[in-house]
Amino acid sequence: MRPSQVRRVLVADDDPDMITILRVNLEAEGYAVDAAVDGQAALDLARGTRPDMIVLDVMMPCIDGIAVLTEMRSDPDTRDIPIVLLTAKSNDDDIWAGWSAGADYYLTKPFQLDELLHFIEYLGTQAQISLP
Amino acid sequence: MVGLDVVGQHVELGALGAVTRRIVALVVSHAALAIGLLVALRAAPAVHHVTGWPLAVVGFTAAFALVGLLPMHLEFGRSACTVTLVEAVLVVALLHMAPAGVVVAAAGGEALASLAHRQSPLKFAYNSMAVLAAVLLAVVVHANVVHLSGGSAGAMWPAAVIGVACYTAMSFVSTSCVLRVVEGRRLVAVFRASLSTAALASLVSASIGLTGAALFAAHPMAPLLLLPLIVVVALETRRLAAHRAEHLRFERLYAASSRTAGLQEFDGALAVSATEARSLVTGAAAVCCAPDRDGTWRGMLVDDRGSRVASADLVAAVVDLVDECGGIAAEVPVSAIADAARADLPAASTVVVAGSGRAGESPVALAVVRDIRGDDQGEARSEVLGAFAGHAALTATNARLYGEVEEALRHQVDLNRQKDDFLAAVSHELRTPLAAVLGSVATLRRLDQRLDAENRERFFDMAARQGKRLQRLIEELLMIAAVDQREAACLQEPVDLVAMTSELADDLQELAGDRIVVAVAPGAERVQTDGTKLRQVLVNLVENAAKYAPDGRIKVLAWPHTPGAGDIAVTVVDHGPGVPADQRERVFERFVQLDQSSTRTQGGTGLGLYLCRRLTELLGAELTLAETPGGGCTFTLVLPQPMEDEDMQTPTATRATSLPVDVIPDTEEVTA
Repeated sequence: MRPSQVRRVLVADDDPDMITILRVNLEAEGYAVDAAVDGQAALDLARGTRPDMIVLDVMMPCIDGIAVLTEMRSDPDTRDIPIVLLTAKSNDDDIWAGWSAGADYYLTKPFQLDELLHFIEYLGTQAQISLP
Repeated sequence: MVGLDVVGQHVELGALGAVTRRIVALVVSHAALAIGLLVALRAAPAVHHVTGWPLAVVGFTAAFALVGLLPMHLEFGRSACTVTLVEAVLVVALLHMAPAGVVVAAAGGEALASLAHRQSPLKFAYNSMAVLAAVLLAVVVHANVVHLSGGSAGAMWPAAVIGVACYTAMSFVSTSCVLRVVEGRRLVAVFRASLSTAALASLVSASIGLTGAALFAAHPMAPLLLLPLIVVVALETRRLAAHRAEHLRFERLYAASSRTAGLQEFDGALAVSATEARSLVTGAAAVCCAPDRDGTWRGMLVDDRGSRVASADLVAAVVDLVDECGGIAAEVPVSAIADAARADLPAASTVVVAGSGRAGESPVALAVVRDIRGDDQGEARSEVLGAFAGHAALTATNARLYGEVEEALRHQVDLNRQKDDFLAAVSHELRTPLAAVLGSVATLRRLDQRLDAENRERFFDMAARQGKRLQRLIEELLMIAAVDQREAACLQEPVDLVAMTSELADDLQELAGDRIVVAVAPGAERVQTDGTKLRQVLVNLVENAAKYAPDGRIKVLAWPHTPGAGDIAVTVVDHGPGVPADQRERVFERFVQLDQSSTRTQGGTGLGLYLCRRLTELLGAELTLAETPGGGCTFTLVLPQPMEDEDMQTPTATRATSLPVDVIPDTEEVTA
C-alpha cells in the first residue's frame, strides 16, 4: 500500500474532547489524524502536511475557522482540500457565512457521528475519481 | 398711488436689516431716475399757463397729503388693493398746473402723509423717492404728448390720462421691486398677482379725477360735490381694511402654525417657532425658549444671520420678562431686557413678548424685538403673537416628547441586540458540551467492542465531565435569569463570616488541591447581608482562582474596609497569571474568557464572574479586581454595612484601610 493511500484528516478544534472523539472514530475507519487546537496551528499544519481533508471548528483562539477557511481558499496550494465546518454556531447568518467562505459541508454541534464519517468517506471517493 | 397689499400687510421697511442695504439701493436708483427725469423736464416744452401759482401748489399739496392719509380699500376676488385717489388729484393737477408745480405738490403731499403716518426714515425716503420719480415721469410724458399734439386744448385730456397711466405703471414697478426685495418673492409672480387689482384701483382713482376735472370745467366749485361721497367711502373702507388686516394676520398665523407642526428635533422646533414669530410681527430678531427634557430652559435666537442657540443670560431674561407679564402678550420697551442679556440682539426699540412662561403645562417664552418706532398696531401684534405662543408651546412639547420616545426606542433596540447576542452565545455554549456528551456516547455505542478498556473509561469520563459542565452552565443561566428579572429577593440577615469562610474552604479544598487558606480579621466576624448570595459569590471567586491559578495559596480574607463607615471587605487572592490592567473590567462580562485555550481544559462557563458581579450588585456591594503584589488576581468584595452600635465601630475605626495580606504567611495553615 502506497503511503498516499492512507487518507490524512486534519481535525482543528479548541475542545480536546472533541478532538479525541474525532480522532478515535476516524482512526477506527483507517484514517491518519492530525490535530490542531487553534486557527494558526490548523493553517500551519494544512500547509505543512497537505491533509486530504479538514474538519474545522469556527470558534477557535488566534484565528477563527472562517478566517482559516478563507485563507486556505485563497492559497493555490490548499485551495482544493475539502473542508467540513463542524461548529456550535448554528444561526442562519453563521451558516451562510460558512457556506459563502467556501465550506464543502457545514455541520452544527451536536452532530451525528455517522453523518460526518459518511461525508468524509464520500469526499474521499470524490477525490479518488478526480485523480488522473 | 396704488399701495399694493398682496400679502395683506403693508411692507414695513427697516424691519429687516439684512435687506436694508438693498432698499437703500432702490432709493438711490429711484433718486437717479428722478434726477434724469428732472433734466428731461427742463428740456420739455412749456405746455400751458401757470394758474394761481403758488396758491395752487399749496392747495394741491394739501390734496395729495389728504388722499395719502385716506386710503380706500377695495376687494377684488381674492386679492385686495388700496385706492388712494392720488391719480384723481394728479389728473386734475396735470390739467391745471405747471409741471414743476405738480412735482412739488405731489412730492410734498406724499412727504406730509408719510410724516403723519410716523414712518421710519428709510420708509419715508423710499416712499418720497418712488413718488417723486413716478410723478416726474408722468409730468414729462404729459408735457411731451401735449407738445406733439400741437398744444391744442383738446389734447390736454388724453395727455393727462396718458401721464397718469405712466405714473401708475411706474409706481406699480416700484412696489413690485420693493416686494421682491423685502419678501424675496419672484418679480414675475408679483406682477401677475397684482396687475389686475392695480389696474382696477388706478382706473377707479383716475376716473374720479377726470370726473372732478370735468365738473371743474362746468364750475370751479362743482368738484366739491364729490367730496362727501369720497369721505364716506374712505371711512367705510378704512374699517374694512382693518378687518381684512386682522383676517390676513390670522391667516398668516395659521400658516405659521402649520409650518411648525410635526417638528421633531427640539432645537430645530424652537428655531422654526422663533422664525415664524419674527415674521408674524415683522421683528428684527426673535427668541423662542422652552424647557428641554431635563427641565433646563433652552432658547433659539433668529435674526438676519440665521438661527443659533441663545445665551443663557438672554434665555433667563426673556423667561423672566414673560413671567413678569403674567403670561399675557404685550409690547414693551426693549429696555425691559437687561443690556448684558441683549448683547446678541440687534438694536431695537420695543420687544413683543408672549407665552406662558414658567407656569403652565407646556411652558414657552417668546420674545420678538422690533426696531420700528411704535404705531397703533402694537395691540394687534401682541394678540397675534400671544395666539402663536400657544402653538409654539405645543411644538416644543411635541419635539420634547418625540425625543423621549426616540431615546426609549433606541434603548430598547440596544437591549434587544444585547439579548440576541446573549442568546447566540448561550446557544453556542450549550451546544459545545452537548456535542461532546453525545459524541462520546455515540463513539461508545458505535465502536463498542473495538475500544480497549482504557478508551472506554476515557469516553465514559468525558460524557460525565461534559455533562456536569452542561449542568453547571444551565444552573448559572437560571441563576442569571433570576437575577436579571430581579426575582432573587435579597435578605438582610446576620452572617457569621468565620463559620461561612471555613465551611467554604472545607467544601472546596478538594477542588483546589488543599491550597485554600482563610482568615477573618477582628471586627469583620459578623456582617449584615444575604448569606446565600454572598456564599455563591465567594464560591465562584475561589473556584475561579483554583481554575486559573494552578500554583500558590488561595487566600480568603475578611477585614473591616473603611474605618468609621463599618464596611466589611472580603478578598480572594491568588498567585496565578493575573489579568492585564486594561482587561480587568472585561472579566466581568458574559462569556468572556481571556485565555481561550484554557476554556475547555478548565471547564469554565464564562458566566461565573458575570454572575458574581450581578449578585454583588443585588447585594448593594462592590466587586473589583486588582493585581496581587508579585502577580495574580485579587478580587475584593466590599459589603456596605448599616451603622451599628458604638462597640462595633470603635475597633474598626483604628484599622488600617490597606489590604492586610500580611496577616497570613504563605506557608502557614490557617484553614479551619
